Amino acid sequence: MAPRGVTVYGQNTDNPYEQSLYGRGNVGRSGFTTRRTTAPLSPQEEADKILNASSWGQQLPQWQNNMATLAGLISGGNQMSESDKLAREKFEFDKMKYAAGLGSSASDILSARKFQYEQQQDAAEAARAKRTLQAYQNMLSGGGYRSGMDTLLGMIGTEGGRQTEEVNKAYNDALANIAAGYGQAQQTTGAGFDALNQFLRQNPNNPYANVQVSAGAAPDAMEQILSAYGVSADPVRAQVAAEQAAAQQGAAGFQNLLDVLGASAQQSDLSRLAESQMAQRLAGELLAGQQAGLRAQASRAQADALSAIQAQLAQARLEQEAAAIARRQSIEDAIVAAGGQVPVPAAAAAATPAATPAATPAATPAVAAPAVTQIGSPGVKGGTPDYLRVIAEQMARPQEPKKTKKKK
Amino acid sequence: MAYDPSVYEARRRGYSENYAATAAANQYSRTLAQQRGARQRMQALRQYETAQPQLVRAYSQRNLVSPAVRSGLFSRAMQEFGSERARGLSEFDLGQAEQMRGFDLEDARLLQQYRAALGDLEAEKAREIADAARQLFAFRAGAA
Repeated sequence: MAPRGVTVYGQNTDNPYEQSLYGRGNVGRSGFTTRRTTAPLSPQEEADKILNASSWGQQLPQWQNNMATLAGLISGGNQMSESDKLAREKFEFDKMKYAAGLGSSASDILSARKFQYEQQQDAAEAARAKRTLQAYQNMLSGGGYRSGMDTLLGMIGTEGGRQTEEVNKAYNDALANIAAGYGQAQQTTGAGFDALNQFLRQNPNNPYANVQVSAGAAPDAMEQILSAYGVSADPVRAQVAAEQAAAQQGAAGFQNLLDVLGASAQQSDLSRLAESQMAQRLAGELLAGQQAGLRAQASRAQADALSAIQAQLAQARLEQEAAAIARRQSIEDAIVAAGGQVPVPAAAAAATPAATPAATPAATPAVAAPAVTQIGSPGVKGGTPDYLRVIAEQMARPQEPKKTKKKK
Repeated sequence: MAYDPSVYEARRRGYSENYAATAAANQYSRTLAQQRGARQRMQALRQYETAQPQLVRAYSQRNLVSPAVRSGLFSRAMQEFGSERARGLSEFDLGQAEQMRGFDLEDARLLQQYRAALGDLEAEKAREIADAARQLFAFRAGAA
């Protein structure tokens, strides 16, 4: 069967060449007819007709030629099938015929206009596809596909720095509080023990030292009375002396008792002083130990907080990088699906902000134009419009995206 | 437990009042004993003063003593009387002194007990101040 747009000539033509070529069996087939007008045209009319028909009469063979080219591209370049070769021959015939001003009926003009409209639509669609593809490629090669993610990475880095500063500030505040609290506690503890030491110094606990011990006065020996009666008082004085000695011995014994008790009280005093010093030293050691423990606790809390922040930052960066990879993959899939070629990965790898997390899109170095296959150009290359080549390449490689996905 | 100095002041007042009461009672007892001993000693002296003329009169009635006679019996009796008087008064004074020493010893013991209680109180207070300082330190540092 002939491709789209190929003219099938009906039997009602009066062109003997057409009749000899196609026969009379093609009654009712759609296509152009080359029916001549019954009245011959003047030379001027012929010229006007040729000039007027040039706008479509040349496009139609050109379209036919393009379709033949398209068919050739689809079928594999120069290896054309027999039907394509036959169609090509018929197109060459049509070209000659329409160059001679044949086939200018109203239906032919309508069909040509219709084809012209479709051609314009195809060209616009192809241009749009080309722009989309180019945009994808530029996005991929310039790193624009990850500009939002780089912004997020920058914000994540900034937030991480802010949180780290907060943690360090909290740690320094904790250390300051610990130092101030330690100084205050040390001062309070010292004041308490200073009061105790002052009390112990001002109140030496030896009340036995103040006890007055005396033997007492000895009784008189009645010397005057005895002498009045002419009696010697010596025996009485001896008795008084003996009693005085006994009284002094009793006083000495009591003094010894007081000395023993006083010594015991002084030992108790010294013991209490030593107890005070030991308790004061112990309190200082406990405070120092508590301070060291609190400082260690603050340091541990700081390390835990910083570690948690780093873990959160790493997780956030990993998520953003994963999103960037997925985004890049989707763009690559779209490029491949559109028949384009993915830019060289090295260019994108050089712009990957994973190595420089704080880099912003604005700071991303300019990436050289990647080696991208130029699908087409605005001009006509070798008589074939570019949009046709794009369509042809897409139709010639319908399975490429699927193969790419299977590899992944 | 938070440090509360009012508790220690109450205990200090209790120690002081107890010491004051017991020491005053001891002093009062000592004073009473001293006065009682003084009276008893005066009574003993009066008895000796009363007995001494009676002894002289007894020997005088037997003409063993007169301005012109000085018998050996009278002299020995007077010397024994003087010695007995000295021994009696000395024993009384010694007993009185021992009683006074007992009061003095009790007074010193009460004072020693009072001061020891105050010393223990001050030491306990100092330890509790140190403990409260540690707790405040922990609160201030945010550890508690």
